[in-house]
Amino acid sequence: MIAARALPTAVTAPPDDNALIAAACNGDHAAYTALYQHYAGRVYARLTQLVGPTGDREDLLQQVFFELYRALPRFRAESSIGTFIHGIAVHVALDHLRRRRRRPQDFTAVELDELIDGSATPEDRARRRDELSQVLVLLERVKPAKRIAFALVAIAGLSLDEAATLLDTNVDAVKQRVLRARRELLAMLERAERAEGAR
Amino acid sequence: MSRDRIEEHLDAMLAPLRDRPAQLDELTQARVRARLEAELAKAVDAADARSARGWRRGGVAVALGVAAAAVFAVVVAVSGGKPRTGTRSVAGKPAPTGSAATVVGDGAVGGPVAGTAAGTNATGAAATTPSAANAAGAASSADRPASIATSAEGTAATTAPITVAAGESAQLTLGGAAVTVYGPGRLSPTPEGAEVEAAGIVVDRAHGDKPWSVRYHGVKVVAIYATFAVDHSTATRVTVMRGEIVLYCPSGSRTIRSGTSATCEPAVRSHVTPAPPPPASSPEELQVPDPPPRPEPIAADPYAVAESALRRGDLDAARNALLAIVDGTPDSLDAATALLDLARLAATHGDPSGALGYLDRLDRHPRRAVLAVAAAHLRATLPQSPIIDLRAVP
Repeated sequence: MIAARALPTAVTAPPDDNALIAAACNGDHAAYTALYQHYAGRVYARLTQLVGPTGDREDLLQQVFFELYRALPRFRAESSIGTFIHGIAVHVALDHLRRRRRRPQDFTAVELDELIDGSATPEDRARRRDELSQVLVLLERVKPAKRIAFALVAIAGLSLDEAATLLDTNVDAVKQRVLRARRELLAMLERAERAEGAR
Repeated sequence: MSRDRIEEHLDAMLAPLRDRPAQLDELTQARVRARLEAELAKAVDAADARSARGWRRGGVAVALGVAAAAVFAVVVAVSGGKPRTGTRSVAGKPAPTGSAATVVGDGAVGGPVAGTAAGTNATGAAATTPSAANAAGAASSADRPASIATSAEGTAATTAPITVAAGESAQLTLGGAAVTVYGPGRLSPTPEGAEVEAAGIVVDRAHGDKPWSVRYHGVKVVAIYATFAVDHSTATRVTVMRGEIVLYCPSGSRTIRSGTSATCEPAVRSHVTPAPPPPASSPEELQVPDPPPRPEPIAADPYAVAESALRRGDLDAARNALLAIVDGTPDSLDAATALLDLARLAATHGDPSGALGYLDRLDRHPRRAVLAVAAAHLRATLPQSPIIDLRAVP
């Protein structure tokens, strides 16, 4: 334990992405670790927006950085390393959603609470938890490609251009997917509320 | 309900996903990193095996780097990551094998670690953390010398439970294991090890020759020499970074080896009860129950043979098995690990010069970088050993 404190703290130094990438490509493991430390939090947050607060995110995070390790030599700096990593995260999330399509995800209260404002009153927290659970169930019914596009634009707040870059597709295709996903969600919500009102 | 109203409702439902980015906690980040590095090391090894002889050197270098970083990650995880603001207090000496515990707390004023009332017995000062001292009206942590937790000179035998607040962590040495507890929750030392109910724990057991066990959310983990993390969300998960552990779930037991993880199905939450105080005599003489029965290792795995002998307490057999590994595959990572374990065995059985001999051999080993931090730490704890500049460790 004492040894750890005495070791050089490369991981806490302000990272210069280009230098880190160059070093990581040359087999400098500390540089790769620094990239992980720098981006893991943001990738985790992005994965949460894409697949929901599921327990699988930890495995997905590991997979993203494993894929990054393999893909790093192919990185040509045509985009930022952040975009490159988030692109990998998007594809990992997409594959994950396609794989689990046949077994819809249940979210526990603990997982949902992660996204609920802790300062809210208990009543508010319960209501928001219910709403979040409901919208996550609806999102599970949207096809993965549309869901990811919708999540990137409507939840993560990316522009259509940025989402298209991450999805390796064109802006029109992203726009279509987002609109269809939104339309499907609204229709499902409307049906659900109508059924609720009829009871 | 109008279309606009439904759209508004949908946006409101999406708000938590949009407005509150999920936070990656320190424990999860360290755990994923350890798993990632183990996976990368395997990938590098596989690529190394496939590559032509000319590429071999480069592959080994990457594997060593990955493994060295894995050790670093483990040590960082165990030490709770970078120090927080405020003074940090460190227990002076490791606790003796048995149930004695020394505590390292985060020294922020009003900080997270709170020794419970049970820890304030006459000799239980090791459980007194900076926070507890604050609560007792001591000087603020800014004025407090860093040696505050060195009370009782590291020899205090305490079974006081340690309570850790949410989002905080506490470190302690317990029966030869360095334990980091992530709150909210608490740890109660037991004669066999500890009973924990907390968000997670990371254990690095590098000392002691008896099985050490931790009970956590109805699950039991038994280890001799191992580094592992245990956490609980919907299920209890154990990730092993070094050595191997035996995991006892309600459904049965399994052996989990380095670089892998396992999950136990949800179990009835165990109720943590404060452990009974140790006998006033010697904590060294505590009756540790026999380790649970487990299948004998396959003879083809010499390291399993050595670890099995260690569990039985057959030191000669363990030493012979470790020496056989060193002689049989002298350049392997197993041989390097065996040298470190031989040094530990010698050190814990009153043979510091023997330990130094093994450490010197390890220093000349081609795969020494993987174990450099652990070896330097062991060397530093040997009597009359020279001061090691850990910053020089590769």
